[in-house]
Amino acid sequence: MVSTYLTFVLLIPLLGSLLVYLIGRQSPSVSGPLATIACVASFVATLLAGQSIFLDSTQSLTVNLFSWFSFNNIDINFALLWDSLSLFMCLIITGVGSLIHLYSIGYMSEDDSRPRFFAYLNLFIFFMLLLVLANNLLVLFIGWEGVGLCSYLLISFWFKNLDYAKAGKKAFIFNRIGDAGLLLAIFCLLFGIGEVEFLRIEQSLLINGAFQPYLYLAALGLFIAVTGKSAQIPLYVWLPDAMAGPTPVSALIHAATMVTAGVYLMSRMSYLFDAFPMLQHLIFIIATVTCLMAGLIAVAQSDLKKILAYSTVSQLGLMFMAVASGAYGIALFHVATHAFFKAGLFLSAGNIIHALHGEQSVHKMGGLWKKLPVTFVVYLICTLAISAIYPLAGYFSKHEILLAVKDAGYLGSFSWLLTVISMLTVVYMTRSFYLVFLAKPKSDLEHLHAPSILMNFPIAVLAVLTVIAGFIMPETLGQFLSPAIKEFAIKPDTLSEGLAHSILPIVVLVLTIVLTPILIGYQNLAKVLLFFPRHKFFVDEIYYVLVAVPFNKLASLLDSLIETATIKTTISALSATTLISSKSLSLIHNGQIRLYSALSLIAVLVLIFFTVLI
Amino acid sequence: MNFNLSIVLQVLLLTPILGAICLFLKAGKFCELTPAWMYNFVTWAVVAVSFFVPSALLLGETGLVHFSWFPSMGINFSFYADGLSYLAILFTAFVFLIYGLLNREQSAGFYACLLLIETSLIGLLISVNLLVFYFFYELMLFPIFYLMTTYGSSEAKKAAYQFLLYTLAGSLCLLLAIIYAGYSYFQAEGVFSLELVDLLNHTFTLNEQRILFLGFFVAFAVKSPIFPFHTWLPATYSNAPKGLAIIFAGLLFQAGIYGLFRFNLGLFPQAFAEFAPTLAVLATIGIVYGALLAWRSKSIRGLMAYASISHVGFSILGLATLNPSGVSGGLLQIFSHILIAVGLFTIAYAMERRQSGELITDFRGLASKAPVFSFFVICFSLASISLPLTISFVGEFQVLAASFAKFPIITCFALLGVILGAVYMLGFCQQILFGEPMTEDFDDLDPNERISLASLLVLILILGVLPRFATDLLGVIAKNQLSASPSEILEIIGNPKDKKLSEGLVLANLQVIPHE
Amino acid sequence: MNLNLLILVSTTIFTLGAIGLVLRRNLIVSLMCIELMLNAINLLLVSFSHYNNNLDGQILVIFVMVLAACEVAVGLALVISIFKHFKSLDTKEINNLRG
Repeated sequence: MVSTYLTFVLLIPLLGSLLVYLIGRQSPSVSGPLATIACVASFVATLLAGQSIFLDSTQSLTVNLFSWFSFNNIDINFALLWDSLSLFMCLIITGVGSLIHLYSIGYMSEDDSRPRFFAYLNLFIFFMLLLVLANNLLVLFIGWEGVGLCSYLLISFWFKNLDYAKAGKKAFIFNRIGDAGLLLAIFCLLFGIGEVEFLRIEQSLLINGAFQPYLYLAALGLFIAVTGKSAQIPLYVWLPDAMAGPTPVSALIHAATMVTAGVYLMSRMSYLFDAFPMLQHLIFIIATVTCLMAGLIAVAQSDLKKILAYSTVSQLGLMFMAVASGAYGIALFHVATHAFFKAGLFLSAGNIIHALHGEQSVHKMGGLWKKLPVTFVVYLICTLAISAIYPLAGYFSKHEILLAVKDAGYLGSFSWLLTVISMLTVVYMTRSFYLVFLAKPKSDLEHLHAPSILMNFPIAVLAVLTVIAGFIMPETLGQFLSPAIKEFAIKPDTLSEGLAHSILPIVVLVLTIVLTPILIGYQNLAKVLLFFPRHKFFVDEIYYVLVAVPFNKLASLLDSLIETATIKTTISALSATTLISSKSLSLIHNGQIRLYSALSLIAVLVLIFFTVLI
Repeated sequence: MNFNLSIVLQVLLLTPILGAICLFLKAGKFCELTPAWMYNFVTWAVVAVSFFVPSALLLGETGLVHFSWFPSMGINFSFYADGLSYLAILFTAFVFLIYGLLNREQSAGFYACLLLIETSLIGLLISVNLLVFYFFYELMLFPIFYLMTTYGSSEAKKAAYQFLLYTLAGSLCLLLAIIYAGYSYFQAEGVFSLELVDLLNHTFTLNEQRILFLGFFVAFAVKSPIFPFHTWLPATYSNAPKGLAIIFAGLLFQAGIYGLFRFNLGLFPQAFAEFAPTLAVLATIGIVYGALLAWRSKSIRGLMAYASISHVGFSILGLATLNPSGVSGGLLQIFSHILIAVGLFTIAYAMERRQSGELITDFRGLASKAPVFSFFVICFSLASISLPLTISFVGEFQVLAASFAKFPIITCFALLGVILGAVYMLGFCQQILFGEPMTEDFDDLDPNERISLASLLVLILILGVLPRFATDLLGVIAKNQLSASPSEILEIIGNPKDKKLSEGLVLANLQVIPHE
Repeated sequence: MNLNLLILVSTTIFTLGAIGLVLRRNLIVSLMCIELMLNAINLLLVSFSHYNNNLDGQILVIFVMVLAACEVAVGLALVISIFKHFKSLDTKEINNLRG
């Protein structure tokens, strides 16, 4: 029964995607609702399939759909793994996904290629579900590449703008680098222990230990894969550019679900990472630097969506810090809360951009709190949540992460960095909030494009989730995920503790609101202070010079050296020898019969001479 | 019904020959059939006949076709098909069928030449006599040369000469090696034979193997092509007239890889084992090199040609692993490349038919003009970069996983090719599909093109999701060919007279070969 | 008859013919030289036939004479058409087959 539901969970979005496109081509207005129904149906199927796991979270089930292929007598099955972790991820994907589908109906209502959009969106849900439901690394790889593909298609959705198309390509290529790492990890595991199924890898590691170099390489490969998908240094640069896609896409793919696939994968393979403390240390350092750097860049950006994008990179960094500290459950908790408030933020940003007819620069906004009251409230709640202010969801998850990181003791005397990172979040979020809603209006507010109820409802739901998640989730989630994830104990803080921890963020928040207008007055000072963050630390340019240029040079060198040269030398040498020999031989052929007859006579004489002689 | 394999094979070989002869004699005029109609009829007939091969195989027929020709020299018309030949024949027939759909307005001579190419491809896939194989291997050059020089531009003529010279030079080595193989068999056994079965049951000494391996290798390396022997390929594919690049790119390379597998690996296993690391290095250079030059290439077909070099590299790398899964992955890669190359060059042909210009930059923004076309471009590009659930992923995965176990560092470089694949293929898509459209009129695909591309795509997906049938079949074939494990090969190197190697080889299962 | 003498005569005639073929520039003379060489051979064949008491040589002579007749017929026809075409029979000028 469960396996039937589970098949439905997967198949509904896939069929939905096909149907939406085929039917949508005839009547575009049907495509949105149809896709939303498919997503909601998948959500319902998830709930139905998860009944038994809700009751007893230790249950797990492997559903073998069919045999895919085999490698060295190792059968690679198209199989699904159904346990509390995959259920948890499926709920986020289909739940938040449904809300964003609903929102998209309103947001995309004037676009002619809606069917294509919704078909891609449903296809994305399918691949994302496949990713989290996969029973082995190869099926996960299908989902892994599939979501990358959908991300590419959706980022370059408005393909007439070449910059958007380029952003899509960049995202795909950076993800592809990560995918190569994942392939490498799979090869290592196949070679090392001959297993690709999660449960069997775990068993094998439990029995044989993990003191083998190729397992270390496997973990490293997985980490490379994860930095690509979850936008960590050194492969994070695609995510800010990915904001070229429609805003619901940014909310769904580049905030709530796909980018957290890395956290999911590392939690799934936690036993592998736990075996290599050195690697964990490396992950921790990279995550911290990513977090700090993205936070700094976010402070200096003027594009609303880019601010949120760098914020996402920074929050992902936080999750990775938790993962590196061994607190996988807490990282997943943050995945959930982040999905709520970041999706809320992105969708609110979508409302704002929609209302301003596509304007994305925060410097050209202002005074919107009167015009977009619902959006204003949601954005405020989500800003407070991401700033970790009690009692919103963000407080609980972030607080736990900071505690876990401190416990792990990686930072030592640098633990003040954590405070800096948290305060940076408060600064950039408050700055955007101030500039968008509170600052003096800089554009005509009369001709606003008011958001429809379809767009306000999902963000309101997300805001509500943001408010209540902190009270409900910690305890339940702890018990729920404990079979899949090792120790995961969250004790909710008391009211007084919560308020005490919230004092600093609130102070920074107020300070930012006070200081931002003053800083805007001293623009030159801001320019000097934020020179590097404003230019994103020149990472794109550095990559261009260090990677793209050498490869291009190499290619043109090979082209001129080998292609042209070999053709020229071999072919022309051949033709030259032929020509020279033919020219010298043609001297004999002077057209004079006398010469010919003389030559043949001589030849005969020579032959006779030799015959007689020998 | 009981189909005798030998009859099926004879019919399979004779159908295109007869078709070609009828077309040459312009037989269509007497019954008012257009050449295109006759060509299509013949290609359908070949596909239909080739479906009888597995039923004949499954019935356990060991009907080797055997006509004595020159028995004292061991040269006979002997034909046999195993699973690999069968799949390759089926795909070959399918590609010719598709080409018939795409190109309907050519003269009788044109189609006759195509059928001659089909004959030679089928012939070399089923011949189990070295000289007959060589005959078919050469036979295809002349129709190709004729088509290129008669219908092509002056550039195509140049390319045709280049192609002919390169391939003939390679084939010369093949001929010499074949004669030498027969001679060394004669020295050892006292009879002269070029029958593959006899030679498989004979163990060549190590030095003989090395020399013979090189002779065969050069010919197949030119045809495949393997890295330093590839320079004829971009020119030929880029200048082939009238969409013939579909046939060339889709089918010529398989002769090389098939030969490497059937003859180099089958007859000279020890030399192959010795040479495998070099082969792996060459294959990997080909993968990365092809990808880099595809990235740099400015012309559409040039890009696809270099991409072909890159893809073929995976196939060769698979053979070099000498691991059953790796080899079967390499063989599967042949079929995936047939489907993908045919798809890509069909797309290029469709573009050329609609708008003049062979550079990538001559096209822009086609996505908003021709959505169906764009759909196929994206799909085939993704298949070409071996996204999971396409056939190329399965082959590439098996190849890379097997080669990682044997050559870890080389494999890391091959993975670089996987990344670069995305760079050039998506760059190509972006350049031609996205942006503001440049031209007003670019018609979307016509029904024939849609049917051909869709059927290719369906095959790519079906074989990508359910590749079990093909991988199992190819796995068994690869295992048979490799029945001696590398360690055993090393043992045998000390004792070259050991017959153990030939046991279990596919053709060695045939018991009786009549020798008049 | 002295065989040596006969051999000497026929080789002399043959050599004369060969030298003529190489040195003379007129086509008709060249043809005549070839004829001379053939007849020298004929003479030799007859001589040996006589010397050996064996008719094989004489049979060959008949063959050679038939051949010579054909050669003259075809050769002269060619000479005439060459003369019509080039207005000359000088082999130095007729060198269209020059490589």
